[in-house]
Amino acid sequence: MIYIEDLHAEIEGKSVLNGINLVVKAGEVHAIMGPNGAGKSSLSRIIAGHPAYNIRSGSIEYEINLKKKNLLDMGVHERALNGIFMSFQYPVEVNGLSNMEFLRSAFNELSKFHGSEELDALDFAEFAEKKIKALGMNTDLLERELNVAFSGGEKKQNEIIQMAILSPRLCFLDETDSGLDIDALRTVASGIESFTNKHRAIVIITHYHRILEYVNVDKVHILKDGRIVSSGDSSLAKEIEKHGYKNLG
Amino acid sequence: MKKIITSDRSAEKERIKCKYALELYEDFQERLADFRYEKDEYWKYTKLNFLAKFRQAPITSLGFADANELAAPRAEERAKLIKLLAPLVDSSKQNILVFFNGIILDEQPFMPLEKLSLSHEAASFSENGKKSEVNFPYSLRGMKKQNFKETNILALLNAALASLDCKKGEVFIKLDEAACLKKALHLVFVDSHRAQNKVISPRVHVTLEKKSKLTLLETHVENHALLTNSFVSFKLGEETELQHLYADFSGAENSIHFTRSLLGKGSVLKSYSLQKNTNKSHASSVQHESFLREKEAKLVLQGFYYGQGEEKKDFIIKLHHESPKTYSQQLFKGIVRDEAMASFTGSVKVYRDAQKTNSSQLSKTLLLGDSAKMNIRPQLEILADDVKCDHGATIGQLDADELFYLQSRGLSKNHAEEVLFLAFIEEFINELKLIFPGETVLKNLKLRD
Repeated sequence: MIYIEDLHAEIEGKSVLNGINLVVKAGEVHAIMGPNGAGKSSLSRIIAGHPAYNIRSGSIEYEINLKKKNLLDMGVHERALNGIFMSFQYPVEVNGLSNMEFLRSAFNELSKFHGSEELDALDFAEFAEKKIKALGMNTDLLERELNVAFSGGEKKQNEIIQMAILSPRLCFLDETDSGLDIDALRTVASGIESFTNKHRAIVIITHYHRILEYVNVDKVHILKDGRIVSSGDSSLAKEIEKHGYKNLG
Repeated sequence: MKKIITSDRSAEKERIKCKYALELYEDFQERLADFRYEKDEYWKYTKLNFLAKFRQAPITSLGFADANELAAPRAEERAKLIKLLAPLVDSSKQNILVFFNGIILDEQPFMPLEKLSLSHEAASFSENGKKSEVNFPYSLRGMKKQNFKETNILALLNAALASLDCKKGEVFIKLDEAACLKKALHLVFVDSHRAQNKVISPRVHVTLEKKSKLTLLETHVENHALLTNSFVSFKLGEETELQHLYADFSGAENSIHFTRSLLGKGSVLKSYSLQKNTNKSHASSVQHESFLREKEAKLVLQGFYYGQGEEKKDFIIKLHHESPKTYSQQLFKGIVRDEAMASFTGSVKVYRDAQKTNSSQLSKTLLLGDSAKMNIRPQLEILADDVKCDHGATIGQLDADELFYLQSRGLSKNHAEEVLFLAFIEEFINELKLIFPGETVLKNLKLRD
């Protein structure tokens, strides 16, 4: 689904990725772990198309519906419309914008793109509530302003809600587990787990092994100094939990 | 509703009134001769370069000497008008009065209208015609009788051109004591190609007698004139309430909208303005001068503007707190992009006797791009010693993180910007929705091109 080859990138003159190679296939769940400043968040922001990054070299190929596209040629919203989703580590608060209206705008943009029916406010509310209940989350979040005065856990839940509503094909979840208490972690993790299927790829970016106790992953990668220094199955995560990142790379 | 009354004034009086137009116009020309708006503290941010064309221009080249044909337009003009306005008005919720090239139509197209005292002539009010200058202090007759010298040069031009046709130049609206209309009153201004190179000069006076209430909408739509120069006066009697919305969605080249209000004891005036024009070189000025004349008068002034292309927009607010315990609140929010320029001048004067006055002023602007400009000038003059006055101003840009967040969910850059613009003015729109529920004018506020 995504093929990243020898990717070098910088932000404000500081290099953050130094030759990333990564292949994620449809139906797979990967975890990327690494210490602070390893480039984990940069990688997911680059996938989403954040304009602050400069790609020095390398390529990212995105395969959707049997077509290969050069991801780096696509604009931010174009990537989203083509099924790429990044859950934000720090979701942005927007005063004056209702969460419901925001979600409906995004949903309808996607519907327009796929030539399917757009939903009016009432139909969308019904659709969204169903989705949220299925995730075991609170529908009250819909009525509030986008992320404004949300607790840390609510913000992360809201990211998962967006993912469920937009139904993307490739998801980069940037530290979706950080700052969550154990109950919130379970809710978020089961949301992710229920979201996996053979057409979809999920990449979980995390500091901790904890979330991997609730979500089955096919592969674990360790990112350090802008490079993947080690890859393996979920036992690698347990290894890290015991010994830390120090001995790697 | 009473049919619009035209008085049986003699030709003699008519000539006198027309003479008054000439008198006012001469006055205007005299002032224009050495008027340099760029050097004038009051006008320096208003784009008045069209004034150069007015020097030495005969009065009839700018205004309409005979308003009759405008008040009763040809059948095809009328049909076009109705087609244009039908989606913008709602006669089940509004009493709709249409103005064509600045002149109120004799036969109104959108019925029914509630009964209200409405006239072209202050003198034609039966019960207190003699007091017309008291009821309508800024009527032409009132100005003349009281020898009132208009200091605002554009308001002076309005008076001159409005008095050119002495029968139809002004419209008077009065609510009697404790009166309250079931529906809002909606004044709709539209002009035609006849207005090209002309100055459209609507002149409307609204007087609320003790304890009456009115919701007044004023919408400006299609526009072809060189300048639309409106003058609106409000006189609020004791414990009256007026809610006013001025919305300009026209493609006017230049527009000046001047409101002067007199607030009586315990009266409440809430006046809102919305501006989103279709002509990207539009220049406009919204001016409001208010006299909080008696104690406990309350004024809320809010405005939203959207400047794009090479538009110039300015707000000039002048408040006079003349009596104790008066209250004023101002909130102006705007988005300025491209090469557009906006300015806000808010002057508040608290007179010596106006103790316990409470006045606040806030201006917030979103500036997009490197070429957009905004000037903010708060001016407070406080002569009383026991008052609460504050002012604040912010100028900011769209938050890059917010834009990225919305785009990453599939919204195009333009769409994301629009969503953020609307979020920026949400508090303003929410208040409008509360005050003017279901009003059609709000539906016209689409920021996306």
